[in-house]
Formats: sequence, C-alpha cells, structure tokens
Amino acid sequence: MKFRWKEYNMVPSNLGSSRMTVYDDVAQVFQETLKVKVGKIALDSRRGDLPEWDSLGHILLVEALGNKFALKISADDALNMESVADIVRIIESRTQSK
Amino acid sequence: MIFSSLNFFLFFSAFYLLYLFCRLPYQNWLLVAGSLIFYASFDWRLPLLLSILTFGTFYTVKTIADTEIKEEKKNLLFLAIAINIGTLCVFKYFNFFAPSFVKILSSLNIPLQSKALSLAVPVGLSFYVFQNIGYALDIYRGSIKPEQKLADYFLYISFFPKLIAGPIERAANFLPQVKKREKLSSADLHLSGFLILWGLYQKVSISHSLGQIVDSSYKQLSSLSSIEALVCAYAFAFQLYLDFAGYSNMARGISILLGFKIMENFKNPFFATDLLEFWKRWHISLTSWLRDYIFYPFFFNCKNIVLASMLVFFLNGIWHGATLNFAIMGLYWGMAVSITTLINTRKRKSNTYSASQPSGLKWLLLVLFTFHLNCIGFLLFRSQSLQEITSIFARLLALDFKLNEQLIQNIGLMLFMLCPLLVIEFFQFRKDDTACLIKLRPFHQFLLASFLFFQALSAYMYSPEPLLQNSDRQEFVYFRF
Repeated sequence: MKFRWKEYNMVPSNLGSSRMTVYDDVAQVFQETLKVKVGKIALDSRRGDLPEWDSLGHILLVEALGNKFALKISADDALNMESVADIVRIIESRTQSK
Repeated sequence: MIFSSLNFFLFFSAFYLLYLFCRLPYQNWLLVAGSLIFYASFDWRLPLLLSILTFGTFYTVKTIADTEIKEEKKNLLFLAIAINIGTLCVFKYFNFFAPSFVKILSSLNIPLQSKALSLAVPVGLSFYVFQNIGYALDIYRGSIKPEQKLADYFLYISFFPKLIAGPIERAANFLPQVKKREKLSSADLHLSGFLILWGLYQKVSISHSLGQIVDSSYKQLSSLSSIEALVCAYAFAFQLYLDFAGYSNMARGISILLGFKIMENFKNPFFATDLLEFWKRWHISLTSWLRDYIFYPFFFNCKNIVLASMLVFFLNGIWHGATLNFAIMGLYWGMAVSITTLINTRKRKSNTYSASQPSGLKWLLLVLFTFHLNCIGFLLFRSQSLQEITSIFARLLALDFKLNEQLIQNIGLMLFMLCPLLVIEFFQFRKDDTACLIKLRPFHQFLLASFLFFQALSAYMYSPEPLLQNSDRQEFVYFRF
C-alpha cells in the first residue's frame, strides 16, 4: 500500500518547504484537471496508477501545469513526467531556472 | 515452428529439460542458442539479419551513452533509427516500388522480371526493430542506463517467446530479468499453465474455426447477403483478436516457465466503451510504444491532437503494409480516434467525465457501438483490394436479409464457440484481471481447465492443421507484420 503522507499531515524528510509548496500546487492541478481526490495522490503515484491519468489525461495535465506555473513545458520534460515526484522535480528546476 | 504445433512442443520439451539443469549465466547462453534455432526454423537466413540489426543498434547506442556532445548524440540516434527503419522499409515496401523500378530499367533497355525483385518480409522483423528503436530512444532521453553486455542485450531482442509477434517488451522491464532469475514458484507454474491453455483455446479452438468462415465468405463476396457479410465481419473481429491474444498469452505463459515476466498484450478489448479505451486494451505493447515514441513527442511539439492522432494511426496502418486497404484503415482509425479524443477532452473540461465504467444498458450500448466501429476497421484490415472493400461494404448496406442453411450453421457455430468465451472474458473484465480464473475454487478451476483442454483437443482432432502445420491458416495473422 502506498504511504499517502498528505492524509497523515506529515512531510517526508526529503521534501523541503519549497518542494512542499510545489507539491501542493501540483496536487491541486491533479484535482482540478483529472478530478482526482488529493488523498488519492501520492508522491510515488505513476502514470497508469490512476485511471484518470491516461494518455489524454497526461496531455491535459501538462497543459494545466504549464498554465499554473506560467511555464513552457518542453516535449522532453512532458515525456519525463512519469510520476508525481518527476513532475515536482521538473517544475522545481524549471521555476528556479526562470 | 509455431507455439500451437507439435514441432514446437517437441522443441520446447527438449529445450526446457536442458534449461532446468543449467544455472545463470549458462541459462542465458542456452536461451540465445534456443532463440536462434527457433528463428532459423522459419528461414535459416533470419538469425543473420537479427544479429546484424542487434549488433548495429547495440554499438551505436553504446556510443550515444558514451558521448557528451549533444549534436553527436542526436546524429548517432538518427543513425540507430535509420539502420532499423531503413531495413524495415526495404523489406516492407520494396515490393510496392519494385514494378516502378522495373519500368525505369526497361525504359533504359535493361530487361528484368518484377518477380526477380520480390522480397518477403522476414517473420518478426517489425517487433525487434521497434524494440531496438525504443531502446535507442530510452538511452538518448536518459530514461535507462545502457546495457554493457552484448550477450544480455542480444537475449533481450532475440528471446524466442516474444521474438516473432511480440509483445514489444521495454528494455527497462526485460533487462533486469536477464541479470537475475527468480525461482519458479507454484503460483508462477499455475499462472503459466493457465495462460498456455487459455491461449491454445483462443487460437486453436476458436480463431482457427472462425478463420474458415471468414475465408469462405471472402471467396464469394459479391453473392453474400447482408447477414452473411455481418457474420463475416463479426467472425473476423474475433478471429483476429483471438489469434493474436492467444499467441500473446502463450508467449507470456512460456516466458513465465523460463523465469521471465513479459507484459500483457490484450485486456478484454471488446468490452471497451469507447475507442480510446479500446486502444488501451488492444495490442497494448504496440499502442503504448506508438504513444511514447511517436504520439507524445509529436504532440508536445506541434500541440495538435488531431494531427498527432492521425499521424500515429496512419503510420500504424501503413506499417501493416504498403497497400491501399491499410492506408484507408489507418486514416479511418485516425479520424475515429481523433473525434473520440475531442469528445472526451470536452467532457473532461466540462466536468462531465468519469473514469469509472457506465452501468447497465448504457454500458452495453456503448460496448456494442464501439465493437461495430472496430468491425469497420477490421474489415478494412481483412480486405486486400479496393474492390474487396467496396464489395463487403456494399453487401453490408444492401439490406438483403436472406438466410440459408450454411449461414444458420455458421451462426450456430459462432454462438457455440463465442458464448463461453464471452462469459469467461466478461468475468476477467469485471475483475480487471486476466488471471483471475486461477483464483477460483479448485473444483471450478478443474471444470474450467477440463473444458478448455477438451475444446482445444477436439479442435485439434477435428482439424489437425495447427498441429501439423500443413496449411496457411495455421499461421498466426500477425506473423507477416
């Protein structure tokens, strides 16, 4: 069973506070775009784990992430977004390099 | 040497006995040798082609990983793709261009028979070409680390259960299994036995008999009634599905016996409620390959979902062959999927989409509608010329409902074969698990296994073609792709 730290109000030790904020925003995008409850999303959730996160869902998600963080997400980044953790990592590095 | 033949049974029995006595790394060497013998049984020259492409890709990709210069990486990736796609195109499309080539030569007073320039597509070529390209792209993108041992990479490409008709396995899933072999548990043995028996039942008991109905219908296309044409369409849809799914299940079962877990290729596709769901359940290894290596890169660059869908399905169509029916099939599915995608995008954006299945009558109607949309695509697949395409669709729309004795017999045969299959598949679909049948009570499992076994046995006895390999129909449809 996946550990859903959001449900237990605990922050994994490897997530700093800035990453936490990015994660919260990413989770919100998941909720708004794919209609997934925040509690169902975990840092290690992967594409295919959630029925809503299918190929069309991924396209809509990438578009929504771009709008949310005011980023132009490249094709390579979109392809590398295999898990929620990947998304947080990529968004973080792109917002820092802006 | 096909999985449902006596030759393969004898080959695999002898091979497996040796395999059980070996340990790593000798098991891997034995697997490579077995795969080469298996492949050579189709044509002795095939292992040579396989080796050239595999070695070429391995060393080119190794250089991609070693170099730091981005431009050089890109050029090497282009080279790896060109080696593989170039070979595939030569074999696939040479016959299409050969007559024009002969014409040009004859205009230059160089006489040549077009027959002398015909090339047969090597069995399984597409499947290992796709694996080579997928590996090269994964290394280029940095999603996986390059394999250092040529022998291990060669085993990944040549592994005989998946060599000739897939599944198109990903390196990230397969290569770790080459390094470390799990001990075969009783649960694995159970699953493997079920998959082999289930695959035999799909291929030998049903698909083979449906093929006979389809072939005889296509021999007299112009005189078919609308009901006969409809029965032919249904029969071919199930023939194609069961032929390929049966092969894939047997491949999975045999792989488990050898200590490898390969991906599931079909997940009850005829219970899909729309075309997007259908393509998530049909030939999963190819559709996910096309999605990850063609659709996504193209879409995220051009941002046009209709164009990206059309491209992928058109490529999928002409991959089957350089004939008009496959091009039309690709365009048809591209359009149908694009429309479904646009509808689903709208639904998702307007909060009316649900990932869960609809219930009751709505579900049934959607399943039937999707199935009929797919039947159109399958008929385009089966018809080999524009004339056959127009004939079969003209007969379907002729509203001629004449019945005859042969037709009633065919309908009866199809109901007899497909009803038990659909009940079992519905059960698998509801549980979302193909292997759920091995979780039944032992007595129920025994009944089911006996049913599958005797169905397969009676099919062999009634028509021994698949066992003896003495006709074209015994072959798996996807071998020629």
